[in-house]
Amino acid sequence: MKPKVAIHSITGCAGCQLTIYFLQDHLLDLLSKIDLVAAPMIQSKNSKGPYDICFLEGSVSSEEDLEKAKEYREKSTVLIAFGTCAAFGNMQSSLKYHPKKKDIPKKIYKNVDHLKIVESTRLCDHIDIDYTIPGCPPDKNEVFKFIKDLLLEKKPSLTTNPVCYYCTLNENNCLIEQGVPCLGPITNGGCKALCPTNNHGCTGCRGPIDDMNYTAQKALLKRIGVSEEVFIQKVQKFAPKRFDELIKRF
Amino acid sequence: MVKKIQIDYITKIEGHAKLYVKIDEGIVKDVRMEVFEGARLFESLLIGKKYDEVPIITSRICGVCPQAHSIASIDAIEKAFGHVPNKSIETLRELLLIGQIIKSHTLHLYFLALPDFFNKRSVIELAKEQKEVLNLGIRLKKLSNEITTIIGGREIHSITNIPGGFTKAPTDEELTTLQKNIKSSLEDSLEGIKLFSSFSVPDYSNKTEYLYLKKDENPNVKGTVICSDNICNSVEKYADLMNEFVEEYSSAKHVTIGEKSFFVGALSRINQTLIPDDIKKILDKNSILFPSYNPYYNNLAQCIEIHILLQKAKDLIKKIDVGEVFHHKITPKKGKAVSALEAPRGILFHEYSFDDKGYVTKANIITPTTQNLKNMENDIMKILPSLLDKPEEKIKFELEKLIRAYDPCISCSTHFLDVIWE
Repeated sequence: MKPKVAIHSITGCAGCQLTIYFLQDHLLDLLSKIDLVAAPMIQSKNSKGPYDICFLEGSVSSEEDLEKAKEYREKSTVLIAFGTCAAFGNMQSSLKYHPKKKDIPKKIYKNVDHLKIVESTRLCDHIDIDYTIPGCPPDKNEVFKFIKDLLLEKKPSLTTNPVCYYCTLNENNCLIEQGVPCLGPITNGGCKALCPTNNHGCTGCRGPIDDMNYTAQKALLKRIGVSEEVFIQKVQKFAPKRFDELIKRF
Repeated sequence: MVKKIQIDYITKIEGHAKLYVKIDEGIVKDVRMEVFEGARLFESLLIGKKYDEVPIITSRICGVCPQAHSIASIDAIEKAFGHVPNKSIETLRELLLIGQIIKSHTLHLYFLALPDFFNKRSVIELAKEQKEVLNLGIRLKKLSNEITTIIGGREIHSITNIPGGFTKAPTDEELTTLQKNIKSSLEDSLEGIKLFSSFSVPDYSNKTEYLYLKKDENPNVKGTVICSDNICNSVEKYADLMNEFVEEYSSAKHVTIGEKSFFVGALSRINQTLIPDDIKKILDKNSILFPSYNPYYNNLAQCIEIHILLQKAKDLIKKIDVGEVFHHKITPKKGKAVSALEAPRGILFHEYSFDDKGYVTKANIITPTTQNLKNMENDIMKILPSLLDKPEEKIKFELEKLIRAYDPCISCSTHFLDVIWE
């Protein structure tokens, strides 16, 4: 029997699930091998579960989001935190760490109580996660391989090497050596160093690797003129809470 | 007779929204598009950020139209700092924006809207019977992704376009291949017009202000004047025209002109475009006339726009000198600027103020979907009485079709609120 698959989302930008729909040449083939029982972005009539596999994108940013995340967890055998919002909370969860938090105008629209706004958080702050595919957006090829492995009942392997590892494989010239701020040394390289290959410093969108050397990264960027304030803005952008947890080790 | 219509999760649109309609003795009393996407507070997030972080952040407002946001950011930043990009960089950005519009339209038309017209619940069901039609959509999608990848570095959240230019220029070879692929797609885009003009839509018209951007007296994706038949307002003074407010049932802001709703998007733009003869012939066959003020025709307008923009892209590529495409150093200075451009769903505004070191002190962003929300509600209110004698499921289906014709992008609409965590 084909596995029952769901692609669900809570607060985010929908870019992660688009990486699946952008599989183009493989899309129809892939869809023929699964039973896509729920994917509200592309189909009406969606099953409320159970699901064999559930891809969940987005961060928990409202009470409704939290209810849904719990519901999807309960109904899924395998639940994947899909993309950087789900995995790390992304930028909407960084306001708390905003270096100029005090300077943000205290302008609140009068009637926003109804929105039940809650501080944006990661999925793993609330529910158990089986796999995490980080990335803003996730890498299409990594996603495709991951799904293939799951369907073949192989244990999916996801990259744990940093971006620098792939820059070396791609024979890129080091951007930091050319004075361009880059978070490649401490960032997960599931993208195979896509930004540096496009001559843009790594922005850290796949979150930090577990054994990152934060102090050395800071010193490297300081040497090319990145102030502490800008450095914090850069590292806190995509995975603020994860950084907070890892930095405490230093 | 139905008293209440409630759609708890409008499917096949980007993001999370509900529809709530109250009816009393056959009269529609209340229509609410309830947006329940969580607030992401982008404008607050931008405060205090260094200018080069801004496009990286704003592109994350939306996975469907990230290039539109990053280009608007870059444009406003350069304007504020008094930097004028060279012609090749300007043209490459326009090409990226065109790729963005085609990409978004194709996703909406072939993956989200098309199943409705064949009474299918999804593109997957549709693929079983109409594989050729779907393959046409996939080919156009692939081409648009090729444009955004060659220029921007990837399909979603582009990498290379930054304040000052591009980190990497496409090669002449890449542009030549792209040119060739665009040429061979023109047949597909024309087929798309044939397909969508063959679908019948309800006979309905609601002539509110149909806004579009104009530059040097012509409609343009990057404009300086906000226009309609009755309005002519400079982009810099957008705030005088647009009245932004919060409805207590929605996490998206709403926008009106005075008290009135208005329309932005492909239909607005096509209403102002001289339609080429080959397209006109197809439309004539189905007795379809533009300008039209029937929002259901926004789908067809998107199809027409894909074809016209592909033609334009073909010409733009010829004007690019890749040797001129690189990253100019720009120097921050204190100032503020507004950028407006035609995003896939209509006019997008980004406005920033910077301090002398290039840190953001103020940010305001108005997206097309927020501008269309009121018009969408008004259209539902007007069209609903003609549907009330139908079974509830049918009414819901027709209303969802109308909402989908607007191609709302909910993620884009919900980043507005400024809230401070205490």
